[in-house]
Amino acid sequence: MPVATTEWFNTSEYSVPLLVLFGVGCFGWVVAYVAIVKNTLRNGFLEIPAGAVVANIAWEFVWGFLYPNELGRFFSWGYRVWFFFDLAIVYLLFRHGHLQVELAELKAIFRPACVFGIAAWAVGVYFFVGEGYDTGYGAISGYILNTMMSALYVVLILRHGHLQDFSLLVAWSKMLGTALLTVFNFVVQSGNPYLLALCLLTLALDLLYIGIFYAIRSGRGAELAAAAREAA
Amino acid sequence: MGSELLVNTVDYTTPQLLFFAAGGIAWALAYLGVLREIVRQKFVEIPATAVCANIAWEFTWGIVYRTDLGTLFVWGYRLWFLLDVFIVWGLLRYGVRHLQTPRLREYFRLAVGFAILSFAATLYLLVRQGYDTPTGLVSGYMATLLMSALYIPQFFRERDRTPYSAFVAWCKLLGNGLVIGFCVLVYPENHFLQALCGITLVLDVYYVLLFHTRRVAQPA
Repeated sequence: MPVATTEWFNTSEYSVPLLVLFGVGCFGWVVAYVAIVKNTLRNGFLEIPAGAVVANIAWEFVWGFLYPNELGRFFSWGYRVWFFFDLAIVYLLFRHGHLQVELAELKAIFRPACVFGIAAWAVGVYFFVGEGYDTGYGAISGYILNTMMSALYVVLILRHGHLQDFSLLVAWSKMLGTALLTVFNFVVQSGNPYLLALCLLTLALDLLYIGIFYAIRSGRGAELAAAAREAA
Repeated sequence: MGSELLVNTVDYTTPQLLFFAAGGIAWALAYLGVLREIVRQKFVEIPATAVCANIAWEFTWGIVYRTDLGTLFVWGYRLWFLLDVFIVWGLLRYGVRHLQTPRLREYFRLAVGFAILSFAATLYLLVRQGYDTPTGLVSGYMATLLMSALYIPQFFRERDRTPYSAFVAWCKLLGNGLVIGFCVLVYPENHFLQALCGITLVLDVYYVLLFHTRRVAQPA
């Protein structure tokens, strides 16, 4: 169970450079969220996979409102800022998310499935933390869903095939944001190889996604994208 | 030490062990049902990602770590692993039909290999970190929940639902239900595990309902 801290910045347990590193990593994700919202409003297609959206909002709710953040109150507020950005993404999920699936039968259950997904993830993350499996700032539960999100991004871009619906800014900001948090975890949680494995796996998938993005933009990728569109 | 016995009646009561054993048998039957369809229809009904997670879990808990339920159950986990080896073989041979993007087939086997290794590494470390129960059910239900969730969209996506087996659907539900009974009896204080069990059960029941309504409604 995370220990509550009343300080804005927990400098007694974490050095200032480490807290700055964590803050910059979080900011990378704010950039990604803003770009996702902007691109969805422009293209009418939500690029972040539905499975990741429902997990993210649940995690941010649990860690922003239900558990204290060991890093300090400032970071609890940071998680809440993520949550409010993510509310916009959830709204867009309900509005445009069904375009991520092709079949009419799946489109018909899309919204109830999203509601179930959010509730299931919230309950799961809440008890995961309550059971004492997480770190004091939600890194393990966060990286479980981050790994899933990074894997789903790879699947979605290959399946969807229309590169203009995906943003290079999002690709880079999510990779860099996560990478900075990964460095933080390597320093702070060096005794937790499970978390570090999740960090490396996420990094590998994020780099693969960027590689695929550039490949689609080049000739080889055009062939892949055409294949994806043809199949869709 | 009870775990060294054939059946660990020191740490577990007979009803608890019966719940687990019956659930384990139901799962073995589900695997046999899946294998039958692989042979008959050249079709792997378990979603590819779930197959990768399963074989990784069974390798981790059947070969690397040892359940404390007793030697009989250790071999039961290994039997699951053996059956799943054949399912993985079927996946590598016929699993490409699940892909929605045909020209990406050349990457399918590579992706399966990568996924199995990734799941195995993370499950191994999750257990080493002390996050699992001595029976492997926290990591086990993480993998099972993933399978139960993926079954639903895959069932929808397949135009021909004939190869999906009612026998497998019911064995899966029954197997999970019985092992959930074990979890409720043995780990009542582990609310995370209970949450995983509850969500998995909801998804399994939904799949069985979906199976009977949609498959029956499918035109011949």
